[in-house]
Amino acid sequence: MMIGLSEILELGLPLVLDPSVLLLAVVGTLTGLFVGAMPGLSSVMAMAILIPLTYRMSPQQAFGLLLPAYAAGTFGGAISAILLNIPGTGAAIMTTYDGYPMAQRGQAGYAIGLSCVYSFVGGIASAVFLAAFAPIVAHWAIRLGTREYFAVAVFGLAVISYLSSSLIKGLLGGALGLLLATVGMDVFTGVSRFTFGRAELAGGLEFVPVMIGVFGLGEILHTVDAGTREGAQLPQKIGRMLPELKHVLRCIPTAIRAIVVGMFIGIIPASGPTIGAVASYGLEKRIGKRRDQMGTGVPEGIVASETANNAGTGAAIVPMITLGIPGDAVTAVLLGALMLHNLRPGPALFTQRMDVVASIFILFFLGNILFLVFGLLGAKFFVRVLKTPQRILLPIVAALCFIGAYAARRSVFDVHVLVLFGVFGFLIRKIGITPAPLILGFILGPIVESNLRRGLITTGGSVSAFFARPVSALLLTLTLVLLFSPLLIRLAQRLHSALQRQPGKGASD
Amino acid sequence: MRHYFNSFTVTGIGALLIAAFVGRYLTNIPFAPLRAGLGPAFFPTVVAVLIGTLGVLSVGVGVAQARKQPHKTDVQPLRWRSALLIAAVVLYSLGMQYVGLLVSTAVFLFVAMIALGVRLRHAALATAAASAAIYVVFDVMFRIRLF
Amino acid sequence: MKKLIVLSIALAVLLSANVWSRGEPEPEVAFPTREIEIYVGFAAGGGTDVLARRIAEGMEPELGVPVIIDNRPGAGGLVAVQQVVNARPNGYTLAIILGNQFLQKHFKQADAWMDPLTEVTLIGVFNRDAWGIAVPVDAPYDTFSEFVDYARNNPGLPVGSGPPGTLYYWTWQAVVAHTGIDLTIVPYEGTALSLSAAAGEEVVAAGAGPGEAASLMDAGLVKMIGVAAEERVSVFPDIPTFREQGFDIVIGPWRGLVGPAGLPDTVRDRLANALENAYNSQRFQDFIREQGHGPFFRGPEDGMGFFREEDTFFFDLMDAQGQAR
Repeated sequence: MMIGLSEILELGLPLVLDPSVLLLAVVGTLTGLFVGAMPGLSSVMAMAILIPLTYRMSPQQAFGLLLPAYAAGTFGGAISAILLNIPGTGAAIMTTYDGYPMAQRGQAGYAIGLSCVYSFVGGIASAVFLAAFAPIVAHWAIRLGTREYFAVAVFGLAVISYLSSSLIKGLLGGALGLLLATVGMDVFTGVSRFTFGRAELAGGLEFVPVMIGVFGLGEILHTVDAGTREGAQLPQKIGRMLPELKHVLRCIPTAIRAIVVGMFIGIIPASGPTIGAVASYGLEKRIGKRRDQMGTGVPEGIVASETANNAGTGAAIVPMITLGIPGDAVTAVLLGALMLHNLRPGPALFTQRMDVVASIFILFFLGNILFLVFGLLGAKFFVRVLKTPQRILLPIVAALCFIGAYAARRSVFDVHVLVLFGVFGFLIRKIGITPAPLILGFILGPIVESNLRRGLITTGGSVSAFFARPVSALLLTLTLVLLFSPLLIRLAQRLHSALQRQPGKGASD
Repeated sequence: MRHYFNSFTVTGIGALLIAAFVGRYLTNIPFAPLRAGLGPAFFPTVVAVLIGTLGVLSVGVGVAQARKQPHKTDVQPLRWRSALLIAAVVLYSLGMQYVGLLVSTAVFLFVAMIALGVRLRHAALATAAASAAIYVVFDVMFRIRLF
Repeated sequence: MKKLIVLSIALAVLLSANVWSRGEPEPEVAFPTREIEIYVGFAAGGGTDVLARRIAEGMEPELGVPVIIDNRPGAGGLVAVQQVVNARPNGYTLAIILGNQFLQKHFKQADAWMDPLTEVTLIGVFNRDAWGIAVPVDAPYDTFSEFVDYARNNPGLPVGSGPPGTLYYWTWQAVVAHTGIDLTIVPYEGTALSLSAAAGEEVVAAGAGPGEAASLMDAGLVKMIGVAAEERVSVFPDIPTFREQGFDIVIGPWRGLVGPAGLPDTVRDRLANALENAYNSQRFQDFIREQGHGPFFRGPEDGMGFFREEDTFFFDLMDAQGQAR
């Protein structure tokens, strides 16, 4: 079952080419860019802000607002990742690895331009894929279950430990993240773990305050501390805005790999775009042309991360629109938007309301074009942030982190969580532990634990059953290969060199 | 003792403390057999063991490193300005439920800027502008009620 | 220089002038005079959020002030309700309450809970959904009674539910208690996940409302073998109730509107009146029918009777399992 392009254009275009829809698409794009780029506000937040506005709109107007915001928000996360080393959204964590070093070298504009172009490429690729194969893919994806979710999350964790520059500290960061993820009521027994009687913790630690605490506030405290010591400054040079064509072209092989990885992982329900970006970055580090320079500020690193996370956006919409199964928190809001308009996702939508389906495809496409335009035009203004004196900029960014932590669920408690993790994030930086493995452990921990336990319950305690299904077998085999071959070699090498290396270099960043 | 103070020993001791705390906390939480999904204590226990093991390894690496270079440390000491900023942040978060989010944010902005060495006049202007912008964007535009 | 400090602080204070308004006593007469906030313990765009927004929209014309929804997700709705428990009882801060809050009250394992019978003022219950059972489309049973027979011959079948602190877990326990069949209840983080597990045949059945399962039914991946409602759900007339099939199981998630304990009667009645009008509006009725939500209304007084029934029901259910506090 494939949907014809002509059918989409014929039914969808007249609806989308309404001035009000186009205007809303621009508003949605700008909101998505702004919210995505703000440290402390995620694309889920963009959706939460916008959805109440859509209650009295037509479906086309509602999706005209929401879909471009989703696409732009996913790209927007890269902006603060590059400029401030604070990922605007979870999916942009890997973008900090190369984006921030580039900005420090005065290539902030270039880095933003590049992530904009390749976010667009990833988004469009997944939109085309979405339009062409949605129903087939969705029926494949629905067969995936507990064991595949477990495998993909374990795979993500393996990639992250593989990426850590100091193995011991990287693994420790990841393990701490896993531990933080166990806070809250146990899904299987209702037993409270580490909640200390607080209702706010019953559902676990909120993602936003933990992430912007460790990444945002922790980074700010670290910068202030480093600044007072060495007089170090945030990058002040901006550099050229638009990436040169030859640099863009050079990254095409990377982008193709990222699209494949991002879509494959994005289509597995409940995985979201973060694991896709991690896996893509890991793949690049393993087989990419410049694998040895990854993490020092090479364009391939940004492309691997940004192409993959945007390729995941279209893929996450597939199960939502065809079967009513949301792929992540953002698509869950989109599902709510469909319901609000009395539209029920599923095959009936494709037969009875093809106009809606067609306009969703076109608007998603349009959203990607819009953020490309606004992203490239706006790059100049975004990097101007760096012209603000650090002494004024940093307190303001910190204040935005506070407000963001509060805003996610209007909770003062979450501001306390933010501060706690901000100080924690600052202290771990002092001993050379990076935040990325910690946050990824925190994101992936519940997926690993729940699906491991659920898999054991549904299969009557069979461990081999995890290898009995092709996708999980593939991912788990890849995990074992990734973990054991290079890890043992690295472990041996590192123990060896740690004993010989001069102190002071022993702490890796 | 001083020369054992490096990032690996500090990391390792921190990890061991966390593992010990978790181990103690988990004594009241049950395990379950494999076919019942191992129970709520299983996963945190595995993680705590992992953290503890890594802690021991880290202390080992740190001690070995300290033996090689006894008088150097790679742990960056805390500067007074950072300590001041941390204090401001903590005070901010504790005070906000009494004086309100916007007031405490404005006070925080001002204090932090002064602490970082911004001139009074500039700090006041920047604080006023940033507070107003935060209010307009969040409360008015996004309808997220700040208090 | 000092003047500037004072000035900037004064400016910030002005911006947050509403801080101080909290301290003023509310006048007894003339309610409402400003906007009313309803805390919803679930994220924007979810089923409860959408229902709450529809009902809030319907209350506005009657009250003449904006009624705004404030999402404060956490702990199955408890975070939002608890914040209202601690709010001033003036009618301007309300929350949506669910059956989950009764479950948490009695559930031995829950360490954070409140008592809906004493700690809130009920304004009204405005919806009750049918819970039902969705099974893979080629499962060897088409009705609930066939399912029960099948389960009797195959003890320990895995069925998808919610976590133990939620209604969708105890609905399965109610089925077990009523029929005496032996099931392995497998908790999932959400209904979407347990439904897709049923569609992917990871579990033999999943508990869900017909509205929630509708997309997968359309897709030909699951079928529903019964709903735990008093009568059939109007948009899904082909799904029989459990009662018709000889099992007296009526259970389902409901939503109510509450304020802090000690809400003055005049304020409560004014709000209850607005709630009832909103509920009866054509727009709301059309909405719940089309979305497969169940109609159900109880005012402040008969609502308390309903609350007490729910309280006893959940206590007995948990007590029988040795899970009650």
